[in-house]
Formats: sequence, structure tokens, C-alpha cells
Amino acid sequence: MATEVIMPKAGMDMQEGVIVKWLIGVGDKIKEGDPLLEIETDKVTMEVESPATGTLLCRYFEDAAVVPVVTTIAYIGEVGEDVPKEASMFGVPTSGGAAAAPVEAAPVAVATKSTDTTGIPATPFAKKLANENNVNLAEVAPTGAMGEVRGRDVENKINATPLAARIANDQGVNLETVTGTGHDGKVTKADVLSAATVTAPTAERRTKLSGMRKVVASRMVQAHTEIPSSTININVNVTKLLALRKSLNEDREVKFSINDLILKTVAKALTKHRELLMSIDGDEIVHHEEINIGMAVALDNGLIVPVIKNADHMGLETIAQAAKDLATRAKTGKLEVSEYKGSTFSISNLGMFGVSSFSPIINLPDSMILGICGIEDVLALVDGEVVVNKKMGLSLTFDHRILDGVPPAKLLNTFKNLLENPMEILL
Amino acid sequence: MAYQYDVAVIGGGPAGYVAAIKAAQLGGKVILFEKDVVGGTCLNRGCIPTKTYIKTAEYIQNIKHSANRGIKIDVSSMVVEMPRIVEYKNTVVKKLTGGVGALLRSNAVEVIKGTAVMKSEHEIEANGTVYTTNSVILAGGSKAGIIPIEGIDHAKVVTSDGILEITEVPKSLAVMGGGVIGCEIATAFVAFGSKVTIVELADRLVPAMDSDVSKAIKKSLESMGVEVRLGQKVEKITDNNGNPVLNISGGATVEADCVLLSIGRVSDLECLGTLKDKIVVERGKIVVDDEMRTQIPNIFAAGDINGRCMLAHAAFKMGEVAAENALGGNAKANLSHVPGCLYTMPEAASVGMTQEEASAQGEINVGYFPLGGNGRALASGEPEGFVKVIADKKYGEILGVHIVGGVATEMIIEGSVMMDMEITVHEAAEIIHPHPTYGEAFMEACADALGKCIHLPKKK
Repeated sequence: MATEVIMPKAGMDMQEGVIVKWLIGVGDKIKEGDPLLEIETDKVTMEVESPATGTLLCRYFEDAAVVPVVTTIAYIGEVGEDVPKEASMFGVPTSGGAAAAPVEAAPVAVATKSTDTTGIPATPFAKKLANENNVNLAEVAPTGAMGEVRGRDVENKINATPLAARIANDQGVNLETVTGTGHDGKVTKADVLSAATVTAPTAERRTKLSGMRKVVASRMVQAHTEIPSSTININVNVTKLLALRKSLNEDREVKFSINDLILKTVAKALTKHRELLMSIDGDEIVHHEEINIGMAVALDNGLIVPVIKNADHMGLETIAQAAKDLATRAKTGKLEVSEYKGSTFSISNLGMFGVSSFSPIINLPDSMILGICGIEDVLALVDGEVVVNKKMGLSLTFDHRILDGVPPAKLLNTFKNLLENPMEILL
Repeated sequence: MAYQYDVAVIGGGPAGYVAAIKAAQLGGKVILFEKDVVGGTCLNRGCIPTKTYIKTAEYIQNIKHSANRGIKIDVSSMVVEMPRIVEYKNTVVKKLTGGVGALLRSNAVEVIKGTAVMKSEHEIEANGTVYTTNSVILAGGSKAGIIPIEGIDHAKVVTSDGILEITEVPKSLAVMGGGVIGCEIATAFVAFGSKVTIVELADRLVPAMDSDVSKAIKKSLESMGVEVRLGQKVEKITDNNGNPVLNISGGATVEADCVLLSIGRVSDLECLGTLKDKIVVERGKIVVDDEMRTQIPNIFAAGDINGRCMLAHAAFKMGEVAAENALGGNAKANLSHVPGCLYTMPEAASVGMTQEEASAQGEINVGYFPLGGNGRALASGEPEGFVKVIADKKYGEILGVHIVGGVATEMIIEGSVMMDMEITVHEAAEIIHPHPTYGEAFMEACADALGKCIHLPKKK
């Protein structure tokens, strides 16, 4: 049987070697121990001796080839003996002859089962041990006289208690990656178990995407992919608005919320910017006359946007009642279909969560949505005095297909002016 | 502030003297306080004295049974001289305590005889002198527990301390508490010639051990003539003509010349002194972590005083760990594989979980090999007993080993080693054991746990 010649692993950290020069040609005879070829590692140049007496039957790489360690590079044997057509490494054929190919073959080899023992010179016991303990023979430093891996070499590589080895094998933990806490770094049961916990993927839970969530998801995708949207932000001084609300609420049992005041503000502002209420329908623009404000209501498992129709015709009281009624019924699932259709503008309020700005997604077929952000104290210098102002953020997302930047910016300013002079809201 | 000593150890028992030697080995300047004689309960009043008694008892038993082996002897002429037995025991004790003293001296540990108590976190007072130290290791040990029942102060009610000093074999001995100490003293005195009765509250002897061990020990004690009364509570002790009488719930009484109170041991907290209220104590034991630290950073507690495991060999380990940490280390005392030994005839030993405990935690295999099938045991005339190995079903991890039989206390070491080194029954069953030895039974029991024991009949 022909004897294989491998690219030797001449040092612990040697990964590949360069064939500097073959010293004999294919068909030439050679004696065991005579120099066969010269190789170069990143550290030294050395001669590789023939592992057997016979004829050089084939060589898989030519001068200057870069070859990963322990790859078969040639066979020595009797003329006429069968030899593989291609070089092999860890049982994976490399493309013969080409100098660059074996280098690429390396990751392939790593990806193969780490216990694959073919092609690595090792004693049968070492192979058995390696196989049983999930050890990659290619990574074991050999101490055998012929460069073969011996049982003791594998044992040194393992260095785990029998129990730890069993558990690692069962749970698919690679012992080489486990840091041992026992004597001289011996891996113990506890080490394997803690490694297994770390490497085990956190259990996932899957639930069906269904009902409202599915609708919300598909509408979000539609709006997000169809609309080239842009969001602009503005800060509004709501000190006066809050004072107004406080005085309005003084004698009321059902108090007005900030949201109510904003709804009223939006309705009022839109009367001055009615031309912005548009939708795209195919290659037509639909101009809306009604100010129908959709307000996003968060539910336990979804989102719904009931609509306050003709909000511009309502006083603060009526708007507040409508908003409360719609929100309540939205949460109990008692809305009529018509009550969440037909919006021409929408608002989404995250102010109670102290959000400083966000980019709400347009509620189709609207072309704008106003995001209400949180209110915070901001120091300001007024007439040389430091005063505390209450500032609220507004984020307006608009459909850039039909709205350019300026009109929405103007609308945002109208909101700001009204909110900062809140008596005008009521007038 | 510079202290006179790096480490001060209070108590010269297994935890204390080991801690002192270890601390000295590590380069510390060490002082040790002992109110009595170094060696602690173990050497002076526990392990070693009882073992000399048990060996004497074994001689007596062997002489009595010598005819079985073809030795003709007039057993009726045999006289047990209790004063000589006590003297022999004292010689052994003296030799060992002397040895400990020499070890302490050779390690330059300063030994102060006297009762030491904490004055502050860094000060200890003994014999009117105050010593200052950086770290303190409290190793005050334990003392026999006393239950507050009527008549417990009867003059003839003694603890293990007292029973080891009596120079006359009591005609009858009643043992309150069938734990390790109770069973060992019963074994010795029944051989010396006392009529022994054990009264145990639980439904089995040595309740902390595997129930198969309890059964075997009950059988062997009874075969020696000990009366074993289980599930019985002593309500009070009365007097009948100077003799104590145990009044058992239900109305029965046991009268004896002497009563041994062996219901357990309690930590001795005398050394806490003025830190009594500053060091956390739970159920009479100083609370420590695995590094033997109390909640006061420079004060450690090792051995019986922390109640983690009231065994001398556990105390050795705790003492070493405490010493290392007192000098800045971070060693931990892993007490999960501490074997427990019971010196009866035959003896018994355990390490790890009982079958009940293990089966409550997961699927197990139980390997069992009776010593009746072991060549050495039969040749030695000790066919009683068994080796039981509890293994985890999935990996074969050895979870517990329970042995009853001759040299059980030596055999248990193999179980401890296997468990500590995480060798499973798969490997243990393959290891060549010398023949003929008792130890072969361990290998056979491991093989039996895998259903492949050679020297047991095929299971149906």
C-alpha cells in the first residue's frame, strides 16, 4: 500500500506551509529518510524526509504552492499502485494541483464534523478517543515518532473528568472551548454545565400572527413601503395651554385632557390648511373637504384609529366627549366599521410616555399624521429673568409624494401658534 | 495599626489546629487558644477514644467466636477490665494529642492554654491578657446536646464525655438517641458485658443514613444482644433506688445503671464573648459562607461551631480553607462529598445522597452487591453487609455510596474519590480491583448499576 506524504505541522501555531521545491520528480525512486522536498513555514525553511522507501507515485502540489498542514501532498509506493486522484485533507478532496485552491479548502475542512479522523496520522486509540470526546485530531499536537497523534496527546487535549466528558458529549458541548476549574485546568461537570447554559440558545416562543395584529402589520408595511415619508419636529411652549386647561377644569367633574385640547387645536388649524388634506388614488389626487381626525388608540394587542368626523364643527366639549366615547368603545371592541374609516388626518399621542420625538407612520389614505410628544420643563430667559417653561414636542409625518416640505412646516407653525395662544383655540 | 498576630485561632480541635498549622505554613504569625488539651472532641472525647473501645469490643467478639474457626479457648474465663480499657484509650489519646502539640510547635504556632473570648473584632482575652490580631478563626467546636426534660440531671445520666471515663462496666446501659454516637457506644458496651437498650425517637437508627444501612445496623446490634426501641420518646427520667428510669411515652419504662444521652451535639459559642450579638448565629450555629467567613470581614468560623458538617474530616477542610482566606485567599470548602462513618460491628459508611434523596431528584440506577458474595468477606467471617451505589441514570454519575460490612469505613474512600473526581459507574466498573478484597464489591456494585455485574445471578 502506498504511503502518503503530508505537509507536516512543524509547530503548534503552523497552519500552512509553502512547497519551496520538490527534490525528486514523479517516477523517481527514494529511500526512507532521504530528503523529498523543501518547505517553508512563516518561521523556517526545512527539508521533508521521505516517510517510506519506494517511488514517488504522484504529487498533488507543485513548487510554490501554499498547502494547509497535514494535507496529503504526495504518495510513495510501488509503481502501478492506485493512488487517489486528488489530495485530501480531513477526508475532503482539495482541487489537485492548483496552488491557491487548498488555502480555500481550509474553512471547508473546519466546517466538517470535528471528529472526522480520516487523513490525520493518528494511532487507532487516539482516533477512538478523539471520536468519543469530540476532539478535532487536526488540532492535537502530535508527539508520535512519525508525527502521528497518540492517545496521550488526545488525553492532554481533553483534560476533563469522565463525567464532564459524558455530559459534554451528550449535550454537544465542545470540551476544548470549556474553561476548566479543576486541577491544572481539568474540565469538571460544573464547568460543562455552565458552558452548556451559556451556549444554549435562549428558548424562543412562537405565537400566530393573527387578527388585529395581522391587519396592523399589513397596513404598516403598505404605508411604510408606499409612502416616501418625512418627519419634521417642532417645540411648542405649552405653559399657557396648561394654565388654560387648569382654569377650564376648575369646576368640571369630567376634566378636559391635553389630548382634547390638541384635537380641538388640530381641527381648528386644519381649517386654515384644508388644501393639505389629500390622498393619492392611482394617478389622481383626492382633495378632502372634511376634517375627519383619526386618533390612534393602543389596545392590548394592536392598534386602532377611530375617527372624529367633522371635528372642525365641534366645540371643545363635543370633541372631548367624542374622543372619550370612541376610545372607550375601541378598547372594548365595540366600534362600528364606519367609525374607523374616512379619516383625512390622524394624530398619535405618546406624550404620556415622555417621548421627546418620534416618526409616526401615516394612516392610509391620509397624507399626514401628527405625533404628540411629552411635556418637559425648560428654563428660559424672559426679560432678564429665568423662568420655567413647559415645552411639548410635535412630530409631523407627511407624504412627500404630494406634499413638499414647506406646507407641512407651515401647518406645524399654525399648530404651534394656536397652542401657544390657546385662547384662540376656543374662539 | 499593627497587630501582634496575623491569625488567632480559638479552639485546638480538628478545625482549629489545622487552621493554625495551615496559617503558619502560609507564613502567618499564629496564636492558638485551647482551654483543655489540643485535639478537640475528636482526639480527646470522640472519634479516637470510641475507636479504641470498638477495637477492644472486636477483640472480645473474635475471642467469643474463635471456636468457629477452630481455636479452642475457655471463653468463660475471659474478664473485661474496664480500668485497663480506659487506660489503653488514654495512652492512644495522649500519643495523638502529643503529636498535634508537636506539630503546632514545629510550625511555630504559639499555644495558650486557657479559655479565650472575643473582646472586639481584633482583640481576644485569655487568662486576663488581651491579644491583638488581624484575623480570627473561631473553632470553638461543639458539646453534647442536652434536652430539658425532668430528671435529665440525674447523676447517672452521662453524655459521651462521661461514658468514656467510667471505669466500671455498667450492668445495664440505656442509650437515649440511636444516632452515630449512640450506636457506637452501644456496640462497645454490649461487647464489654452491659445489657444495652437503645431508645430512638425516629423510626430507624442513624436516621441521616440510607435506610438500608439503618436496617442492617439494627439487625447487627440486635444480634449482639442490644435491645432497639424505635419511634419512642423519653418523656422524663425518674429514679429507682439510685438508678435512672427512662419513662417512655405510652407508659413503658427502661431502668439502667447508667444512661447515655446521645441526642446530638450543639455548637459551643462561648468564645464569641462581647461579639455575641454582632456575629450572626442561626439555630445555635455561626453563619458562614463557603469561604468560612462570618459577616465580620476579619472573623472566620470553622468546624462544629458553624454546624455545616459536624465531622472531624470536614472540620480539617474547613480549617484549611479558613486559614487560607484569613491570610487573603479565596478558597472554598466544597462539602458535598464528605463521607460519614459509623463504627459498629460490622461498620457502615456513606458518601453522597441516600437512595431516597437521589430518587427524589431524578432517575437513578441502584447497584447492589452483598458481601455474602465477596471472597475476602467470607474468608474473614464477615459475610454481613453490602455495597450500594446510587448512580444517575443518564450519565452514570455516582450520586451516593452506602456500605455496610467489615472495613466499610476504609472502602468508602473509593466512593469519595470517584465522586470527587467525577468518575462514573461506567469507568468504575472497568477498573481492575485486587482480589480477594472487600473493595471488589464496590466495582461489582458499579457494574450492577449498569446491569452487568459478573458475580451476581442474572436478573429476571
